[in-house]
Amino acid sequence: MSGWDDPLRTTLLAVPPAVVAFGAIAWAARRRGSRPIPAALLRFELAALVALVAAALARGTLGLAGAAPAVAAGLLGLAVVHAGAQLHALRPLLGERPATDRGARPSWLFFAVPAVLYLALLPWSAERRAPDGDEPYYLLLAHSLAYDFDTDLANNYAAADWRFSMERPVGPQPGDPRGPAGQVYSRHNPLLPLFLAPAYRLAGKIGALAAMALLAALLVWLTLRLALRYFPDHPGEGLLASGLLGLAPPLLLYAHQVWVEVPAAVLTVVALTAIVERPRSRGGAPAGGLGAGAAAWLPLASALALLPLLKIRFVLISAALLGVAFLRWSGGNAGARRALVAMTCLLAATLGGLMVVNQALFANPLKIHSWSELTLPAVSLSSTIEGFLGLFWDAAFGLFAFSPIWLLAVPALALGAVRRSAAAGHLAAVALPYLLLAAPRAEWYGGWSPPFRYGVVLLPLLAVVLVPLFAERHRAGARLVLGVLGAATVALTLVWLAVPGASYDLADGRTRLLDALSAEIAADAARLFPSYVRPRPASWLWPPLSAAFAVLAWWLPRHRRKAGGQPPGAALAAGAALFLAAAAAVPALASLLPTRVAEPEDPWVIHRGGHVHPETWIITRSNFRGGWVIRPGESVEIPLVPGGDRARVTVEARFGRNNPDPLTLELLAGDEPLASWQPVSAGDWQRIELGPFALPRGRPLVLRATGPPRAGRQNGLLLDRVEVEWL
Amino acid sequence: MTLHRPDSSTAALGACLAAPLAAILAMASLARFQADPVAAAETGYLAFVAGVALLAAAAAARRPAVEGVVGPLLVVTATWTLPEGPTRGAVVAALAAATLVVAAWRWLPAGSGRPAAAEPATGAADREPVEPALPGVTVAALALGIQVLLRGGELVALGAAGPGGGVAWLPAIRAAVLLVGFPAVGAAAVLALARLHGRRRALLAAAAVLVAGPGFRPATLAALLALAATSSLLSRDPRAAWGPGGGLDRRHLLQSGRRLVPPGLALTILAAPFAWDPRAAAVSLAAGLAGGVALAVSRKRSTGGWAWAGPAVAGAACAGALLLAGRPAGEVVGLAALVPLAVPALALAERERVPVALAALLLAFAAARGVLVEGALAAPAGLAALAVPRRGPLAAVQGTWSGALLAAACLAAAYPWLRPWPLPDALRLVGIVPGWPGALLVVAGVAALAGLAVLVSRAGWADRASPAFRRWAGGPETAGARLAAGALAALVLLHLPAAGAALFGARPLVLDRERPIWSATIPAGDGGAPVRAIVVDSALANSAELPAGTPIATLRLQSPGRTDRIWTLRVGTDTGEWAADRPDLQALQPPAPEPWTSWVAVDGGAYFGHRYRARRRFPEPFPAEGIELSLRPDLPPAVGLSVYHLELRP
Repeated sequence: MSGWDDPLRTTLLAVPPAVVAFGAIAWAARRRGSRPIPAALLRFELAALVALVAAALARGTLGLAGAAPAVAAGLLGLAVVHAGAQLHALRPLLGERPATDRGARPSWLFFAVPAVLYLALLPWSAERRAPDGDEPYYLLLAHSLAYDFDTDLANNYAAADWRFSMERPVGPQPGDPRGPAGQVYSRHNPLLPLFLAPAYRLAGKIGALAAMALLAALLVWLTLRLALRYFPDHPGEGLLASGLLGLAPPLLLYAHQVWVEVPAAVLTVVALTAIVERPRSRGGAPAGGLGAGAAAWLPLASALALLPLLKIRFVLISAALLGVAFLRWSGGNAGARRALVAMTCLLAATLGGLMVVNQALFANPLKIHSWSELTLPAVSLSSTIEGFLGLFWDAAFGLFAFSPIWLLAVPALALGAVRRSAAAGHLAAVALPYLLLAAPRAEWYGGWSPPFRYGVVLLPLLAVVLVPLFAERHRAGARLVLGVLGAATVALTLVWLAVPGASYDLADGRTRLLDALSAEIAADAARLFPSYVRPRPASWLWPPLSAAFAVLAWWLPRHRRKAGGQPPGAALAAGAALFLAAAAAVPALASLLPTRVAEPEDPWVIHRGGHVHPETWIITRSNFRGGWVIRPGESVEIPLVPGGDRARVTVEARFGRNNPDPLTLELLAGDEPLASWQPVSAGDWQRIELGPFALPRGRPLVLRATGPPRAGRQNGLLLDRVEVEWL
Repeated sequence: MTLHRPDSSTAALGACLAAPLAAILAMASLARFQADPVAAAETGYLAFVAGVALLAAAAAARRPAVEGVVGPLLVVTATWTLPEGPTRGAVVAALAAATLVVAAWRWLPAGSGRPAAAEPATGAADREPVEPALPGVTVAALALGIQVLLRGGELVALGAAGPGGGVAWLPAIRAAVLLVGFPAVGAAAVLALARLHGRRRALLAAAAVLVAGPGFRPATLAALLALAATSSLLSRDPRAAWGPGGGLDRRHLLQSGRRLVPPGLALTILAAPFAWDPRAAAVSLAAGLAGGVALAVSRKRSTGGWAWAGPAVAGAACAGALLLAGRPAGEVVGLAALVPLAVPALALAERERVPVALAALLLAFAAARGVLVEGALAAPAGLAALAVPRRGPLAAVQGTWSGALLAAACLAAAYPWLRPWPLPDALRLVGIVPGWPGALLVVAGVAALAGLAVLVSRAGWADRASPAFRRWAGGPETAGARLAAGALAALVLLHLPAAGAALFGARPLVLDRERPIWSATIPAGDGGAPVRAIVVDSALANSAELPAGTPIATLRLQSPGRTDRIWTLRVGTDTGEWAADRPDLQALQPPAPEPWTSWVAVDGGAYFGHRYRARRRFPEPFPAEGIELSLRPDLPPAVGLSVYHLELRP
């Protein structure tokens, strides 16, 4: 490992500028009256930095080249720790009631800290994970806008301009519109690429990613400002909430990715801030109609108009924000109402214009969507519930699984509901219409993106509702909850930082991490965690249990800590210990709980031939029943955790006929035949019940396909699900 | 030196230990259910070694103990997510060691972030100041943690079954003694030494002895106990004695001035090692006498001839060692340099401690010559630490050096490096080659840093400096510690080995009868890539019966128009049997060089598999365009060569 091939090269090159930038921030902060970062912490950081840099440079020579992700996690984790310490040190700059003066804004330093952090993370993250999903198209559009000054991508596809940001070829997506002169347009809106184009022109892909990082840092600053507007008496808690937003996933990982969700979140916060602090004219009086202090209305009006231009689904956010504004100002003067009516007209005009353009380009006013997606009766309640719970609890795509500390949103919302907090009400008003649209979608999970993609736009609002909760963080129960969730978040964040691709899961009911663990222990660990792509009992147990834990543990015991009692760190340590003990239970439970359901395509199942179905990278994977295809001579071997001596086995399978030969499915306990079944009809899913029979302990359940040997295309059996009922 | 006393209440200790215990549970659970027995054995081993180190760090930490929570969390995350093998072992061991270092650092004043307390009061009858005792739990915990890192390699067979599948009592008892008994005795000796010679000297002596050991072993325990027992015999302790209730009662002691260790017990402690190894015991006794005399002289306000009794005894020991059969002269000289390397401040001892320094140096030669057990240099190294000033920049620089050296030794001795003699590797981290030139360099460096610290902290000079600089510099001790830490960091970064080009990735290259040759072209510009050195990490399979020196493989560097450079890898010098420590092969003693890294292997019981590193340096750069590695055809058919790392260094 040397020189230019070293995956840590750019990360190491980013260390000196990051150190200088953080140093400059600390210097500027001290001049403005911030606290110093504790000297002991700085010394520790310095020592750790030297050790990590030395490890990074020497690891190849030591024969530990595989340690690169661990070293990267150390370096990036250190940057996060320092950013957190610096934000904490900036606390005095907020004063005690900083929002009393409505014109007051948090210092620019609250923007600079996350900005430097995100830019420091950028080299490793960008190099270890290529753009995916919509990202290549946004980058290609940015390229076209920056160099061709148009949105026609035909010449860019022809010239392979994707090579400036991708290593794999990028082609038009199915359904992308074509112009009369051979133009090829993208289905993606050009607003985000338009924002990225100048940075892209200056520094290419890295410039665009850096622009996204700065936008994410702006979001942290804006969220702090919004929190201070809602809760002027809790500046420290506001800082804590915005710090959580900025320093924990998902924003930590979305910060340098090209998705519309972060810009949409910025616009949402801008609009909500304008609503909370009612725009005022220059004289300080509440702004009237458009004629009186129109500039004061500009942030709200432009945010509302720009949201649907980012992505049409964000029109629901705009509409909800407009509704909140109407409710908040309904008792105001007629001028304010006139202004709101004008903004409604503006939003309608924007939406109308967008639909006209879509109709002209795509022959569909909703571009690739249909009106039926908007009609609530067309979606089932179960899919809505699954999508809603999945956005938060799904092990692969949910916010709480991705970054468990956000589970604090549950007690925070409960507290907001009890106190009838404006922030919680506004969150509900903005989120519900949007989630009602996003949750029932077949692709509620996002796809080709880190988890919680559709929810990122709501993340700042979730952070803001945490502020009153954080005011009670000194309770023993609260510290216990913070210990559990904080420890889990730290551990997972390190993994996401070290292996940026690890957070990208396929919609097959599994996750990369649980797959790795399952393969390690040769048992199904994924069944212990919720999935709403492949619902299972854990999917319905986790939400109520985790929510109850977070709510009850936070407020119990009811009394505050007595003087001389347990030290404040004790509850945090106990929480971390509880998380580690829970982690210890996972391999044990996975290996000891009797097997009841096995999915043959899972990695803990031993495959002797065959292939996965549908193919790995298929779009809208959740529309398919995933399974494993076996052909004559191929088999799958399911290591069983016995729940008795006899069992009945049910197999869900589909026969694929490619020739007239018969095909038999044999069921064996190890090498001892148990039963066999021969499909008669092809193409339909069938539920095959076999047994009951004795299943000797210690022997795997083998499903083997047999048939006469033949050259050419073989018959196959697609196995989706094997259920074992112990008797 | 002001140390911070941890909260010793049971509840606080329980809260501190909760996270490490849960971490052990998490790692043990994974080990219990891992399907791959090798991975499971390694996870179990890491759970044991790292778990004990984490427990020790948590017990030693002040509350609230950040390291007591973050350390376990990081260790578990690494254990669960990294693939098994030396990389995972290195990361986990480094995290466990770092947690222990942070705990120790936060306990010491340098890491507490608080200013040192005022100078302790001086006892009425003694020139030595009265200091509060070291907290026993903290010292014992640190001793346990250091021991498991320095000697954890000897505990791999802990899970081995005894005859008939039952518990193997002998290894279990041995492990308990090694892991708990030795550190407990060592901690008690350090506590006693701190009462007698002051806390800084006691901790420096412990660090020097542990590096020289390495770890707590009979020789190091004999050295520490002899230093404490002899000092107790030769001087009364104004602060400690046994109170009426059998416990320590300081008020009672201040009046009585009894000896810290009852004379009968002290004599027993001094005599017992003679039954084990008379030479090591004699050197320990001589070191103890030199240290005890120095203490007695300092307490009696006397600088008379008694002060030179120590060097006289040491000289006699030296002369005696010359008469005994022992190591050859060249080896003795090189080995004796360990003492100034471990305690460079002895060369700058205060006037009244010069006899101690001289005695330590003489005893270093005596021990190097005559003491043939492991840890031979422990006693003179420990004695040398008693020559270091109690306070001031020199003491601070020495403290930083001792701490860094011990931490580096812990890393080198821990899995997967498992260096039985970690000091040379620890020194190489900062570019120092063991020996007298290296020792002189270290002495000069320590002197320069101490002088610089005095300069930096001088009032007149500091007054002209910026407030930030004055804050940074602090007093002479603070400046000394920080300058030393900065210099060490710079040396580490400057002496990183030059990175070469690794020719293949994570999967090892396996050469055997079916695939005996591997070749590759070397990507480079015109004229080939200049190669100055080659590094090969490899191991043999089924080679236990090959005699030392057997040619195994030929490595050929090719360049058009030039004669190929050929290097023959041989058993015993360049590579060796991976399973040399497997119980059934141990009797054969397969020839092998010192292992480069090790991993936990399983075959009946757990043992360490090894890979070996060979280096070949060319007198001048060779413009290589191709490389070929071929297994010798005349080897037995079962012999295979696994190459894990092949690096061409420019």
